Amino acid sequence: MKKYILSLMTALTLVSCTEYLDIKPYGKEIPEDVEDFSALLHHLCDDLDNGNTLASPILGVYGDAGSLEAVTDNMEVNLTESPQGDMLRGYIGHFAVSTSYTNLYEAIRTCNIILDEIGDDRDTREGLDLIGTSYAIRGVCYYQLMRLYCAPPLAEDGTLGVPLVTTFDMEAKPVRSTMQETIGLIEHDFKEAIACDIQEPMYRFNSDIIHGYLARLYHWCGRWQEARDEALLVLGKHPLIEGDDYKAMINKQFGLAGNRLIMGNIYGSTLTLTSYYNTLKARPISVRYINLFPASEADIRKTFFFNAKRQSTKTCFAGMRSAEMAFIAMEAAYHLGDPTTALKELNDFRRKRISPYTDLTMTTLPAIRDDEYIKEDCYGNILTPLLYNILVERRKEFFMENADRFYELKRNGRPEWWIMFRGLKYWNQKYMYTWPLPVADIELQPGLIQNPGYDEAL
Amino acid sequence: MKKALFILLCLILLPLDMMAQTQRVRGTVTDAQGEPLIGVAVRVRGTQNGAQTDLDGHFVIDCKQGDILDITFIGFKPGTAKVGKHEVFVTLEEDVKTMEQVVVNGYTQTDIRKATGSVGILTEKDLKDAPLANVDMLMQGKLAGVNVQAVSGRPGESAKVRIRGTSSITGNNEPLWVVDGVPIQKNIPAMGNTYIRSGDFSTLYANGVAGIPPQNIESITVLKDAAAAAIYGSQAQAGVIVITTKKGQAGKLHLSYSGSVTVQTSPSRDPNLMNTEEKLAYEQSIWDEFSADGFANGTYYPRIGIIGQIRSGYGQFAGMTTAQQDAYIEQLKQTNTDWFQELLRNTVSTSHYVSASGGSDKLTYYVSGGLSTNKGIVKKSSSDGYNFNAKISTRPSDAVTMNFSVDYSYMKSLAAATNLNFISYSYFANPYEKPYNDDGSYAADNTFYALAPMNNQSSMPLPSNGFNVFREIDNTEQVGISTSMTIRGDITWRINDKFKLYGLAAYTNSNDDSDTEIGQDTYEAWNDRPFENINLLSKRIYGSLTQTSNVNRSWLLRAQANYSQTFKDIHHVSAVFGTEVRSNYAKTIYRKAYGYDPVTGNYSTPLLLPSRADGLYTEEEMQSYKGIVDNLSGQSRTEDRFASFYGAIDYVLMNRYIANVTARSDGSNNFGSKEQFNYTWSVGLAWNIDEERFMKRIKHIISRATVRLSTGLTGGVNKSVYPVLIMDYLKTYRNSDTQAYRMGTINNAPNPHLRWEHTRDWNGNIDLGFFKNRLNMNLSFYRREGYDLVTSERVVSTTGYATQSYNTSEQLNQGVELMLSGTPIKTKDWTWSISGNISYNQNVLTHYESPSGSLFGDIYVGYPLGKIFTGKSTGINPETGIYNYELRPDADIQDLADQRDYKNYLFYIGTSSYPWTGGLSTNVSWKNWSLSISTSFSLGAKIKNHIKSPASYSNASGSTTNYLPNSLDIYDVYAAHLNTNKDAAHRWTPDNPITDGYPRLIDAHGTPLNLEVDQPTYSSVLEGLYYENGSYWKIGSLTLSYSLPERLCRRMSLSSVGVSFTANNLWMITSYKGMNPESPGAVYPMSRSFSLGINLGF
Repeated sequence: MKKYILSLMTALTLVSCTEYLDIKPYGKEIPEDVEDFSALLHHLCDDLDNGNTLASPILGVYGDAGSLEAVTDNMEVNLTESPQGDMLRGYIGHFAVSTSYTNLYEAIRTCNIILDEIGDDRDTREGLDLIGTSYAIRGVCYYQLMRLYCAPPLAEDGTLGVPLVTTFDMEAKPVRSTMQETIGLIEHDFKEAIACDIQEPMYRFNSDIIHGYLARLYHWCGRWQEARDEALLVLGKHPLIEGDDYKAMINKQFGLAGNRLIMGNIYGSTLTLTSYYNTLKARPISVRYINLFPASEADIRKTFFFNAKRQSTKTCFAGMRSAEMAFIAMEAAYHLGDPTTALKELNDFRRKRISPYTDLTMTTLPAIRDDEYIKEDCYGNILTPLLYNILVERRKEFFMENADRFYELKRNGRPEWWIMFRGLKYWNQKYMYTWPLPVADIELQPGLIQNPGYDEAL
Repeated sequence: MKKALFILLCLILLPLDMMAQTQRVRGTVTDAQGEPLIGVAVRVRGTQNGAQTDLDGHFVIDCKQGDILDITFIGFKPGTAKVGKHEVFVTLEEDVKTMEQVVVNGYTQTDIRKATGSVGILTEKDLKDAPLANVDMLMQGKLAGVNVQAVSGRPGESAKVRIRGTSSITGNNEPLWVVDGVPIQKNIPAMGNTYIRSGDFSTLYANGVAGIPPQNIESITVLKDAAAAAIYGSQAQAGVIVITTKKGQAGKLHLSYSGSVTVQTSPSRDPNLMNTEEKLAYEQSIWDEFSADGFANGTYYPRIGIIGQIRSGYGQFAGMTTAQQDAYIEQLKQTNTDWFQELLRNTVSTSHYVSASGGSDKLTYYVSGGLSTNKGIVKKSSSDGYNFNAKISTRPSDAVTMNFSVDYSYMKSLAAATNLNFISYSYFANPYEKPYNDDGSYAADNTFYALAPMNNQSSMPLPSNGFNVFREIDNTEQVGISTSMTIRGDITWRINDKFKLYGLAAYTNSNDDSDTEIGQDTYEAWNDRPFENINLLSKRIYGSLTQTSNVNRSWLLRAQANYSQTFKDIHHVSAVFGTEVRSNYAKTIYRKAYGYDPVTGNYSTPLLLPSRADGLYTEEEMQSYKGIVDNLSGQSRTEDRFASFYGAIDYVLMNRYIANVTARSDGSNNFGSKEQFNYTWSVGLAWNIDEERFMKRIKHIISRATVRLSTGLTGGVNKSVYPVLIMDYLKTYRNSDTQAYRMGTINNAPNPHLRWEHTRDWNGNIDLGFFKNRLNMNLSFYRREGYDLVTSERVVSTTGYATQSYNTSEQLNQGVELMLSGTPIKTKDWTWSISGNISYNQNVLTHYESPSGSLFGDIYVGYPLGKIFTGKSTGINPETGIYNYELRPDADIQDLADQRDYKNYLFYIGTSSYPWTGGLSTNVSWKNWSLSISTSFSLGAKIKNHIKSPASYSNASGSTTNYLPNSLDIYDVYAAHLNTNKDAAHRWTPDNPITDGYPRLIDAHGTPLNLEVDQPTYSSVLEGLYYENGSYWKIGSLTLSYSLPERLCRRMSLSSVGVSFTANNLWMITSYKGMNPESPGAVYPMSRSFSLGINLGF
């Protein structure tokens, strides 16, 4: 016994300690290969699928309708019923405190780690899918950061971009880039993603979707020819649908259908959704929106978007579907100086929603309504009837989708108006369309410039 | 194991008296006063022949005439005697220096006179107070600088022990427990599963010392500073507690028995609670003020209490006329339930302990076994256990000694398994509710959980059979069984008188299992129904069984070389160098079965209710069903390994000047760390002034004087953070139609600059003995600077993280400890001794990075960790009926926003941890009688006196029109739904604007009062109301004991008989108005207990 213990001890002291200590905790891993990184990406995609908080600003979730859309002129904040509607926010300034900035950078971090570390597996099929998806998600994150935290690029000169992080580094403290740099990175990421030709369906992204995002990017920053090319490319592969197919697609709560290309919240709980819709019903739809549908037109959307009580009955959606490409192409044609094509495409679109349908002509285009909040286009020019009608059609189509009206208001002049909310008067002001960077970041990072209007906010 | 037991058995059975030869000599050993000394070792010089004195100081030994007898006894100078023809009489002189104190640090053993560090020592006699208590509670109030606080009175619960303040801000602050040189390593891996509640998983005995019976302990040494504890390296940051268990003594077989019977009494009902009459009147007044109008007009009104139900015709009261309502209320007044009495009980518990020891010079043994049943004062709760220990020491040759021991313990806890806190229930349940109907069936409690459904919260319905607390107690059960076995062996090989090699091996295997059974018709089961999907109307209930099993395997191997030599009679050098490796592996597996049938033990898992009308599942429902089933079982594992090298050198010059250096390096498997090895060290100096010549003249006054100075560095790993990118796999998977994909996340921001946490420590100590050590004083000063402490700090969002854990913070613990003990009276019949200690610890956060990145966090710098910033109430405003708060003198009030700003109201009012702690014990003995009282005190902390009502406006549906912080239930009209303080009835109302009672009640869903327009609303400010001075002085135990005169014992053929009576938790002096400042809130109460104990020696 004695000898045994002593020899064992001697043996143990002689064995390399590092080797003895080199054991791995269970369930933990230093990520190194494709399999490890795919676990990170699957987690991110799972968050997208389920609309979890972290990932909700990336693709959006159905709940955006109740937050961002509910404060726009599509809804009547003043008439919100309490207590059911208390969950809904009141005005655009309520978004001054938001975690989107942090959440988007968190997703960017995951993508950066994968892109930094993937190493040798770069050229395998799995590797390409991983890299492609990481680029795609990173691009989408920056696209969202740009839309939320930067002023619209066409309205002002020299607007700032967001800080750009393309590699994982805990020590880095980048300041804001220029708008062109931000756009450049998003474009770069999307093109890299397309080059990878993602095949794995569980990663949710594929080249068509990324072309769609490129179209969105070019549309936002006024690169009309490229916007039109990309949009038509996607539209060619995923044509518009109409009638019952259209209705079925819009009514589907969870999951892809029709020409939906991607969606946040592909899964979700019916229970939560039901209670959410009940909340939403407490905020009536504005008369201004309902009046966009003339009584004379048999528009399919009138039959299931809302009811007689001015409550929304449309299924909320966040993601991308082909119809948006049609509008991008239309508006691009308009800005490229081809109103004929724009009008033709507008009629083509309306024909799919209104039946029987009579084509609009340059002379029969309805005039700009007095109660319209958007008075100018993305350059600050007074709206023409054609562009107005394109925007109106877009507003009708994307009601309760992607918080589209919010971004359209932001892109086209950032109109100001006031609302009454819980007995107090609130002004929706121009600066509020661009959200503030988190105060903590401004304090921690010298040289980081806060968006205008938030200098005193603490 | 078997072999060892066999040897043991032989030893007990075989006659030990085998060396009869030559001549039988008798003798007596006494002290200077002529009192016989018991248990003195007598040995014939040059032989292995030995004996021990009995109760009269007599011994018998076989030897030859002319032999020299060596007589040794702890606390006395060794004596000798030459064997002549006659009986031998020896008088031993007391050795005033040794004071019976030996510093055992687990690696070495030194006389306290040669120690340079700060230690506290408790011996067997200090641990006799409470027969049922754990070792940790027995230490309460007995050592300066060691703060022991009871967490609750639950049987088997571990106490919170802090040695010289808090060492780490985010890491572990528990001291290291060491038993016979072996550190206790135990891990309970976290489960992280939503279907396993914390209650399903018993961690009651998790700290590992619970299995050690106090009767088996010879001494406890607490190593308080770096000089004492540095040899433990990184584990020693929060101090070390070394337990030495009893060993066999050479001599004839000594059998002893000790047993006790303890009566624990249940605490009585809070006398301030309303009785039925008062509660009904209170509810009626609320109905009149808040609900009557709304009810009459058909608009909004709150339903509060049974009156709210009756008056509004809710549920069973629908359609009653006012006369019927009044009659029903009259009938309710017949019931006045004292829920404390119903749920708490007086109990009788017992403990037994038997030990046998003895042996020859070559081999000694100590075998013991204990058994205890501990019934809790909360119904159905108990903690029972038994333990067995066997220890053999052998000396196969003069050069080699070996020790071998086996310890086994078994503990079982039983309790009702419910999320309901019985203490909170007994406090808040309405007195008009009753436990049973007249026919003996469970009476439904119509109010306790009814607030939500009766105020339109449709998502929280009640089961059809209602809720009854006794149904929960009777039909739910958690059994936790914890067993532990340790095998330990060591060997010492004396190569020569200078060198010695030592080896130690220990292996511990412990299991913690728990079974949680939830009966089908309980409220507990009602709340745990994942298979109901979205179907709110479903009344389906199913019971469940949750089984968890945790196994811990740990081992330790140590090899050590000791060197010790004296040069020229005055220089003594001793050194020790060693290495050790240890490892701990822990695994928990769990399984939960729904649809459990306790009769057969089988189960039938319910099907998920589909939401679709056609009975088919949606994709989402299939995923959710799969998710539920996947999560019903699983496992969790951890493994830790350490390798260490250590060394210590002592140099003693002329027994006067002592220098000591200790160093240790620890390596751990802290994942991915490049800094796997950490270094700790200490240096200490001591000067025994009394050995100096100039002290000789005052030796009769100052008999002992030592000054010690030491410094050192200890440090630990903070396991909450990692230096590199670590991905954690999730417990859930992402599923496609064909495959399940692993998911991973990187939770913590990696930090390559992460270091170990360190504490640098300075220590000064003066140890004095006066008048032949009749009066002793020990004064210590210390300063412990914690640096590189890990806290999280806000980082820029672009990193992808909001916070990062980093070695950012620094803190300081400094303090003074004073111990005084004396024996003012010592005569033949009378002895009176008294000892007390007091310590002061000041904790200051000297550097801190706020995790939120806002400036607010920085105000904590310069304050202790337990700081309390809150508002100071200026009383109830007669205009508004709410408490107003004092503005800070530096507040700059420009507008209403400044009036509301909480920062203008925050004051530092003190700390939540007690800066002053200590204890006072005294013992008086007269002949065979002895009375001892031991008390402890904690002073100077602010403790919250507030048990939050389970009823709140947030239970009711509807928007909030009046802002009310959740914790401020004093204003909440919905909190009146459950029982409350009598004085609540005396409240401010618009018609009766009093300011000497309770503030106004506010209906958070009612008409807006706009009270918050110019008032702070931050709950931390408003909660200032609840803080009280938590100082207390507690009589922990009072023991009266009597030992039977020896003559009477002999008649019964016994060597000793002792009887004792002990009262525990007898009394507490405090100005705190809550239940108990030591363990505040609705926790398992500490009970008063009375024990009768008996000790027999055979």
